[in-house]
Amino acid sequence: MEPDRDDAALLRAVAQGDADALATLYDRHAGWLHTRLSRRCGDPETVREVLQDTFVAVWRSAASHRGGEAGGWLWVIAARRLVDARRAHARAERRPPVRTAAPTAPSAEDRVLAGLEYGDVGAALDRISPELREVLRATVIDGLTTREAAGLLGIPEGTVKTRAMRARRELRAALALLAPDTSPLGGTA
Amino acid sequence: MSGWHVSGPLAERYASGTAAEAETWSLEKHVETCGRCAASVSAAVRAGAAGPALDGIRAAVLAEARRFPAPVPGRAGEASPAARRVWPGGRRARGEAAGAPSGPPGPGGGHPPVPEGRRRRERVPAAARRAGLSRRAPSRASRPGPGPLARLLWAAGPALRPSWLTALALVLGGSLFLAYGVGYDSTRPLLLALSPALPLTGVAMSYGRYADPLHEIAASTPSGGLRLLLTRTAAVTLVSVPVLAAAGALLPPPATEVLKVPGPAAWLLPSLALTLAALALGSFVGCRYAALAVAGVWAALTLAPRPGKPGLPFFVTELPEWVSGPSPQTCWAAAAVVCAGLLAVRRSSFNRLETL
Amino acid sequence: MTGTGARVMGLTVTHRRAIALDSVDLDFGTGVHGLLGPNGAGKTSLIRVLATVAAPAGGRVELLGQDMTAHRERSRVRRRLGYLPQEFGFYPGFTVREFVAYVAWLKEMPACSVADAVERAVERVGLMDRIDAKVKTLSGGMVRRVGIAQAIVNEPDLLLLDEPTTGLDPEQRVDFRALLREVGTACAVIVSTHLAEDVAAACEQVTLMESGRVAFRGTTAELRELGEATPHDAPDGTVSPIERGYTAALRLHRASSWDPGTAPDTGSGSGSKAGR
Repeated sequence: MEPDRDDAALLRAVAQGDADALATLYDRHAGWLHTRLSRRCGDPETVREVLQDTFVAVWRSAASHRGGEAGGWLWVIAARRLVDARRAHARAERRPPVRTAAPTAPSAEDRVLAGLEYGDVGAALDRISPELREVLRATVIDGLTTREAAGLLGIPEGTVKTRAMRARRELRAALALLAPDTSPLGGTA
Repeated sequence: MSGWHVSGPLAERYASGTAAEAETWSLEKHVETCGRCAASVSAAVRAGAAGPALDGIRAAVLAEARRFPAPVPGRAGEASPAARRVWPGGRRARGEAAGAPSGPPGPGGGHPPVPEGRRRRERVPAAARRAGLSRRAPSRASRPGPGPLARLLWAAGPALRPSWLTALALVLGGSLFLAYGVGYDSTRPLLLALSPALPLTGVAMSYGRYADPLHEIAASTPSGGLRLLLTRTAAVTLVSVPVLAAAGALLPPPATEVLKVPGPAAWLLPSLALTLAALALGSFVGCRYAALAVAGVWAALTLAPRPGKPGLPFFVTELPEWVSGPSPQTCWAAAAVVCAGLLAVRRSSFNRLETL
Repeated sequence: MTGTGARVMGLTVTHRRAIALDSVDLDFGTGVHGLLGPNGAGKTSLIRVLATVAAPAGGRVELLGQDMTAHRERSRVRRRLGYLPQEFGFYPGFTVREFVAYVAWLKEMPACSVADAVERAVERVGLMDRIDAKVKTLSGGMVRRVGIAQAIVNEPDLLLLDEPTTGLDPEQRVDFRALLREVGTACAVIVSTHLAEDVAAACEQVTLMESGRVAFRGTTAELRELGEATPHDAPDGTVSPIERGYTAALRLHRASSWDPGTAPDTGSGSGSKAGR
């Protein structure tokens, strides 16, 4: 796929000191990184800092990226820096870390659309409580370790583990409940 | 999910925060591996409320990049001279100019650049980099991390201390002087007889807190034990063997025919056996003392005068028989194997401060 | 590695024919533990044994749930360990980045994660602006911070620090204590120090040692209460409660270990055992 080759080629160019390649990489990836970070951290200033730090780190260490997908690598750098930033803030200000911003409630149409496309899984996810969803997201989607997830969400490591277990249990239960509907999983897309 | 990509409406929903949880998860995972969708989602985000913030960050990142050009871990001649300016190690200052780098980066470029393991040819651009540098004393250009060759050098470093290298040079110089200056006949056999002991002193001198400044930290790491020890021993041996062979070649052979002097090649196996024996002993009493003990015993043996035949040291009369010829060599080889086995058996005891 | 923390049972350590630790039983879980005591109390010996750098003369050591007598478990635990000795050096010509990366390599961290881990560790100790400066150009306090960075580079489960605040000015000490508190939320940290204030500010649990024995074991709050409860003759405000607690606990320990059966001229009952 051409964009993937472009990503690898871009990174090689960045490693050689090509600032324009960095700019292109930024245009390609900074947008989704920003949104993804904002969904994990409600403080826009922190998100901006982390995003900037991530791309500066890319500038410095593009050569250490060994093949693979640029997006995943970028996310790993960004996620770790987000965890560090949250820890630093918790330390400095000694107040509970900023809760993640609650996403705007999707409209009824959007929910139907989502339901059509994602069927049971989407509906099941909606049923479990937000903090369980957050833990699941941090450990499964974001690829964070238990310790990093604890740092990001501002909860103890033990709580991360118990919530992850509960989330999986409740997800399974919710899916079992929904199964009789026999709506197909996966999409019309 | 082959063939699934992020649709335009989904990208918009994601950018505006109105997408449902499950589809955002799918999107986020997908975008990690699909550059095309990454670009389309990013475009949607840029078109939305976060646009100005993104532009600001873009400018800051590029400003930082222009100020501190990335290192060029590259092939000679590919990087522009501008890119060879060093990175003084400035961290992004929040929106302000980073200014002059804090702290002196260290005295001149006297220290040889650390080579990247994978790209040996970096030696050339590194030298060119030094030549093209600004007058300000350079600090090492920021790089993703030292390569494996660099780490090997550091691991071996304490073994190749200047003091040991000087001692080796002195031995060489001394023997040359003895042979040509003083005219001592048997200098060559003397040097060769002592040659197994020299790497041992090198090993002995590379241990302990005086030799290895990081030894206490290294002792608490999984690699700090036998592996490091073997690296250093190998370094010492690799340096001393050619030097001694060259010395052997330079020195004149003894005039008297009666002394059958085995060539330098004959001393390799005894060297190996003695080194392994010292290491194996070191697993019991500590490498430093073990190496010194073995070296001392060997030196005493070779230099001790033979009883009954006054005037001729042992090395002159007996040692050649103990070394040259197939059967002594086989014995030495067997001894080396036995010591290696003992070392392997005792490998787990190289993990305390005292034995290291 | 399922276990956490460290445990020693009946630990005896000798140092040059003298008993440095005398059959000590201790156990450390997640959190920050302070190890206090006068010189010669055996703190460094304990830290060295926990760092697997010194061998005990007797007793059992369990780190992260693994017994430390076998080599394989030792290696496994060492990958998850961070250790800052009281004194350490560096190869001349090392930059901060190279020093920390070398230790990361010694700890067998996966090669692809070393570069980023080094930068994050250096950032956490606040030396990011000097990451490419040579270590020999740094002041004593900064060198010690580099030492702390090498100890945390692999995000250890067990962090052992021997007199880590030596050479740090008060502001740096405050930053360091905050770092300790943050690290201590996820792993077991054992800090050996002779400054009671370090303990008061950063540690939840305190172990006070004297002459190779445990003189006090409890929370920092308890030590402080002990100090407040004990009468003292120093003018108010010159001695902090924790320091008073320290002196009181030591005094209590000496008094309780004095054996009335021995002749008075053998000195204090805690014995004439030397230690390190």
